Amino acid sequence: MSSIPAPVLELRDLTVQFASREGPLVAVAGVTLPVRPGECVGIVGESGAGKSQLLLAPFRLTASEAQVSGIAQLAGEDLLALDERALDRVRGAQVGFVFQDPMSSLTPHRTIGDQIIEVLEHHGRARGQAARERALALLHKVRIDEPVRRLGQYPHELSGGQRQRVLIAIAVACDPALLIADEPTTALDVTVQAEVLTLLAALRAERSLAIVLVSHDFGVVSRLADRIVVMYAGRVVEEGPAPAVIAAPRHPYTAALLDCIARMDDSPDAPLPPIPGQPPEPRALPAGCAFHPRCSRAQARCRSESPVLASDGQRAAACHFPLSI
Amino acid sequence: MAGSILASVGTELPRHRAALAAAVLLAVLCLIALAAPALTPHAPGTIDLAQAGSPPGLGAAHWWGTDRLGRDVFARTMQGLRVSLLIGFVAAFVSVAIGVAWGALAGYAGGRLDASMMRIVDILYALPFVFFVIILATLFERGDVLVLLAAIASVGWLTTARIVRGQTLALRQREFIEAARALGMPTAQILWRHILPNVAGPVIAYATLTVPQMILYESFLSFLGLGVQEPLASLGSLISEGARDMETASWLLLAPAGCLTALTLSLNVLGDGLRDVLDPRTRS
Amino acid sequence: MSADREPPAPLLQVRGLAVHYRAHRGALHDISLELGKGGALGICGESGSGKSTLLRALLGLVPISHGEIHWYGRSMATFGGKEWRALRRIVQPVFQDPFASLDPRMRVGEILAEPLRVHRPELGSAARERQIAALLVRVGLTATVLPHYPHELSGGQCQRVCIARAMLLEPAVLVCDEPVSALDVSIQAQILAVLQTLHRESGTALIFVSHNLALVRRLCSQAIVLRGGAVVEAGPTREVLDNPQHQYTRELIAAVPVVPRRKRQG
Repeated sequence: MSSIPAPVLELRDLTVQFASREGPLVAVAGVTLPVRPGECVGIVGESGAGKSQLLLAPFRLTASEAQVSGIAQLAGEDLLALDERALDRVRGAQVGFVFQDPMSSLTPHRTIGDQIIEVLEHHGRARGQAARERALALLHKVRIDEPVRRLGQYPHELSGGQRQRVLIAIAVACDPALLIADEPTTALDVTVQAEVLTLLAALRAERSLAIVLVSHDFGVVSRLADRIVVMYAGRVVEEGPAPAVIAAPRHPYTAALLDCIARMDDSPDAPLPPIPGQPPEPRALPAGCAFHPRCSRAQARCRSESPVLASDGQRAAACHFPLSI
Repeated sequence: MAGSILASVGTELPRHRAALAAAVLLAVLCLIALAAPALTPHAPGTIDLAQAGSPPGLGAAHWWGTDRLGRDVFARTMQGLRVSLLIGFVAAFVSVAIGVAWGALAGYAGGRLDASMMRIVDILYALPFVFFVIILATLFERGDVLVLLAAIASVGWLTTARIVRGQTLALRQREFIEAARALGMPTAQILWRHILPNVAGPVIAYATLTVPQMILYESFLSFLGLGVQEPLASLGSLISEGARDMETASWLLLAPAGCLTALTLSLNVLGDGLRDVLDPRTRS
Repeated sequence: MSADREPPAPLLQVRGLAVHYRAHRGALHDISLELGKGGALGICGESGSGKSTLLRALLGLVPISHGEIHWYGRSMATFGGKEWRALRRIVQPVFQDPFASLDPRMRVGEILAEPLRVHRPELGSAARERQIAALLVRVGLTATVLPHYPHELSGGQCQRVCIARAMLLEPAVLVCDEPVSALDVSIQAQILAVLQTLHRESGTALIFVSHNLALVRRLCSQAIVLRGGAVVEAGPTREVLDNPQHQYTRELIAAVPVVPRRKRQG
């Protein structure tokens, strides 16, 4: 008997709003995102698309207070109904988080060892000497050199890449089923970026860890993701298996994002077509399709009618005139 | 630079209710203090032994009562308020000006100049302040307001210097300062156009917080008898007098103490609000 | 053959440059490079390679320990006040963090007026405004940005302002330190287009520092690879990147994420 395993993370029709002087600001509008165990989902979009808020808001990790409506379940448990204490037990233990800037995510005045042990002790996984040994094992796992020495060092004594490895160690310390990585490689050098992505891939294979990888960079996402979700102005505009979306995107925005990546085998005189303009502010969304002012294929219908996300089972796109595949 | 600071204060401070209330309270206190001679027929120095020690009363000849020598408490307290305000603001202004210049120069110059300038600050910090004031008081006329001002201001600039130096050190590394240097801007211009406006926010807020500090220093000195001398009064000397008669004539203590509290409270809350408004990062 | 028909000195010549720091920030050892008028040099390197120190040495922002930097044949060590002032109109920077590169307390209009105030004080405000307006067009901005503060603009807009500020003095060289690394990929393409246009249409030389080799390959005809403060490889970009000789260069190339091109679609 083959059954589709229950999703680790289930977001259905999720809407995230923030209060502002001009009224509620919609950062995420009706997004559905199931994440199955062991799956890696890549969420791609420009800054302000709502991709971070989508994942931080259900766990109440947003900078200011967000109003979340819809369904948000982690392994069947309703996240929105949990109080702060219950949520605290979930964060760090059942879900691990890796954020963008390792220097600001680590406490500067405590040693690496202390910070890893703190997580283990807080979630009751180990204490004292046992915790120290587990911390060491974790540092081994994330391939940090000289782990014993690193335990006693402070964040500023490590390089950016090493700090990010420590963050990953902390994130997987309690063996979560899900890892949420929000722009984990953006502040890093390119060789370090490659190492971190390799590490994530290895961890995923070893622990059948589900990963949600958020990035504005297709390059980062394409290495790891099984499935790609493209967001624009708080909505999903395209979704599908990663290789298919990259080889033949349906939505013009996805295509434009793919086209503006500089590749090593480009001929130097070929133009790198930028996407004109900027992503819209949540307070000033265009009528109809939010992307139409920047779309080369836009027509009258796009200016007045907002497209619905149409799915054929495997792939989905929210466009009146999608590209042919 | 000044235009934008005034503009941001004008538009955004009203949104901070507490700071706005504090500003209003401060304005009211200042107005009353300045207008006092017109509000009461009694002069602060008039001695009237017949009326000595009378308690406050709304219908009474003296609203806030009289002291041991029959002097009108309201008039005296307002005089004290004027003196404290004057000393507080002038001393704060002078000390902040010195502190900013010192700290910005040290922070921007870096290296040995910075080290020696901050060593001087450290040494001055270590000197007992009262000791210094006593020396000054002995050398000059005791109770001379100018000497008092000089003494207080000479100590008050130290903390400002440290704060400004720290801010300047951090700013110096920022790319917009490097861009200004790459533009060939002379150092003096960089300090004036780029460093100072960016430390202005915290400095102004801190300056507003320095005023109550200066007033408290002066009050402390006057309480010890080293500050303003009779017949001049400051809130501190009035509190000192009032403390003596606390049991029998509590209004003599309550009046100046209440004014001092209202003054320092409003200045502190206003200073906090100003800091919130003037820091560009906290602006939405 | 007349003896005074020497070829003109190249725009920039660096020989044996070394910069030593006491702090942990990168030191440089024995750097040599050359840039001709209107050329484009890519500096490939990661953190700790000394690339930022190199740029700052070229801009005269850090003192040199050994070696020489020649601008149009004149060594920086011999610079007096007049030469330093002239240097500012030869080379201007564009830094990595667009927000940190602009004074947060100044409006964009004031920021852009500054280079002209410092170097061309004789210009009246009308002439200044005309120049600023012309430059805004060249970097793809409109006059609507002028009354704004940097934090009110997007990263891409701020970086355009930085480029405009650098170009106001019509420098011969723009030195760009990771100018697009802090921006979204889609905005990177926009800024790159601005730089490319300036390079081609105005003949402004570029020194482009980046750890993204694909960008260096697009923009620069010459490239050097920096590691640990030393040059490990140098030459025409195509050769260095298509035929890397040094192990580190190969590592850098291998680390560039490969995203296959999409097929032709209707």
